[in-house]
Amino acid sequence: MTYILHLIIIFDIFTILCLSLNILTGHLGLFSLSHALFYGIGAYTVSLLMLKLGWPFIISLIFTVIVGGCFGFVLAKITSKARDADYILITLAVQVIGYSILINWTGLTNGPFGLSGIPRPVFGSNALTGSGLALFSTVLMGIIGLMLKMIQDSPFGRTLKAIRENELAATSFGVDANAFIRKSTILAGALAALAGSLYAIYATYIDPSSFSISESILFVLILVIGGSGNIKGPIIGALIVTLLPEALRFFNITANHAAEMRQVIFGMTIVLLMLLRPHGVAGAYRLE
Amino acid sequence: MIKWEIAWLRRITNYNSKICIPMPTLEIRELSKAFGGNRILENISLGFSGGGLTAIVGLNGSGKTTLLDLLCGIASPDDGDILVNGHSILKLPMHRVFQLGIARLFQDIRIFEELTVLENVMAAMPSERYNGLVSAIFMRPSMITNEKHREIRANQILKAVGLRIRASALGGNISYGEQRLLALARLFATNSSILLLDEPCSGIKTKLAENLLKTARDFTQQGSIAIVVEHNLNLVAKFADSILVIAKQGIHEVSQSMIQDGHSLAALIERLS
Repeated sequence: MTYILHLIIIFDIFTILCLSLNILTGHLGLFSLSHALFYGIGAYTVSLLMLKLGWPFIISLIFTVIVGGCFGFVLAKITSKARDADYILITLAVQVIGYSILINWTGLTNGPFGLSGIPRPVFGSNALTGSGLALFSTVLMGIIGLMLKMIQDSPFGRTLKAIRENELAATSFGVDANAFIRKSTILAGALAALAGSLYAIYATYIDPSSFSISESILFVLILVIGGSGNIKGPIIGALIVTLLPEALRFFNITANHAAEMRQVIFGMTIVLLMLLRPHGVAGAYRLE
Repeated sequence: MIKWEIAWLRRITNYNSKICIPMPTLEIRELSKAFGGNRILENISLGFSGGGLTAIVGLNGSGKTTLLDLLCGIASPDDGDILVNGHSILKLPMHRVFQLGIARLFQDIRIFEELTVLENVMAAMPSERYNGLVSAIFMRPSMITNEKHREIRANQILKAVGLRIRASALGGNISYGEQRLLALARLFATNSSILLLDEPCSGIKTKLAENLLKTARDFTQQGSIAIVVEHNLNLVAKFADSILVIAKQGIHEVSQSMIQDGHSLAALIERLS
């Protein structure tokens, strides 16, 4: 039962992360490689607020979402004139710089040793564990999915797609593309930080290795596998990536080799998808 | 056969209009633009008011598209000024220039390929209030009502240009000629009073090109300004209310009779010099 709950929570976290990345990558066509950093900012912010300042979980969570949004605003400002390859390179640089700060600012983050003993949220007199945490993360994921579906089907969502398809044409129809990209990046940053908060209170221990460039690449791969530009693509991608390592258990592969096998299977899946289904399993937009 | 219902088209595109100006004016004052030391436009001064279709003709590289780029805010002039209804558009970003009533049809069409034909038209309709992130979540009932109105208008515009039947097709999946019509439909959907059309007829059949220019000209009958860059002198002579020739010596207004004489563009420019 605990194992199933673990899978549910990891799936919820991946889904929130990839839905937030989908705002940038799927709807706007901006290939961001700094999403793990926002995830990390969320995890560290909520942990520090709860550990060092003793703030209650809900207040810490709200503050963390705001912090994530603020960092999203900063990223949007930095990348305001960058598109395509320039955007990828800048987000890569931001990820690398941010990761270095997480590693080296030991006074705040405890460096590579990370932060341990992160308290679980307490509702009433009980700490949220197991099924309670799974229910909480699933409800949160459902609300976010619904909210993003509403955005996708609104004039705002249509405008994002118009910017993705042809920014100059969209601008010629009175669209302030930078303002739309800025709002979307704030939203994506806030939601990624929220996913980081969930991870921190679930794992109760965080260190910078969970927020490295390889994690950013993994999130993009989830979108490549599941598909992007809609809601179901990232959800299916998160489901595949959550269940794939578990499937390896049935093939008697030792834990030492499971990580390598996962990489091999991811690689093969991506090659096959590129050849047979470039939109991903359930996507509406082909990443270019 | 495409049915062109111009009066009706004008009525529906002006429906609930907030930015359409009945009698717009566009003034170009001593405009100059150079690229890498190569002077493309020099001291161009023009005035447009009271509606009508103006055609701009000229040889390749004479600065026709550059002039449109300056008028819609894509590029900035080196010298001179552009006034829309008395307001200078210099230093304004392109989306703000649009809000003053200038809309552009690009030579390379720039369709939103992964949006449906209907969505392409709806994306061109200005609506500050319901385009926001907040209204998508917290103002859903009024946003949905607004969307229904937009959809009705978009369908009417598509019907008028003969694309109603293709409304649900993706923009990237329709033919080149249909994409040209879609680009025109999007332009009408903007409610703008000054339309800039960069070679709208290139690559399409003569009959379709005639219908397209006729629609644009009829659209200007109630006061809108349309400026069309076009190579085909026969089409220009047939549909333009006034004709401007851009050459190295400057910009000249020519009569339709000069073009109807059957001269080529090069010969016409030589006569002007």
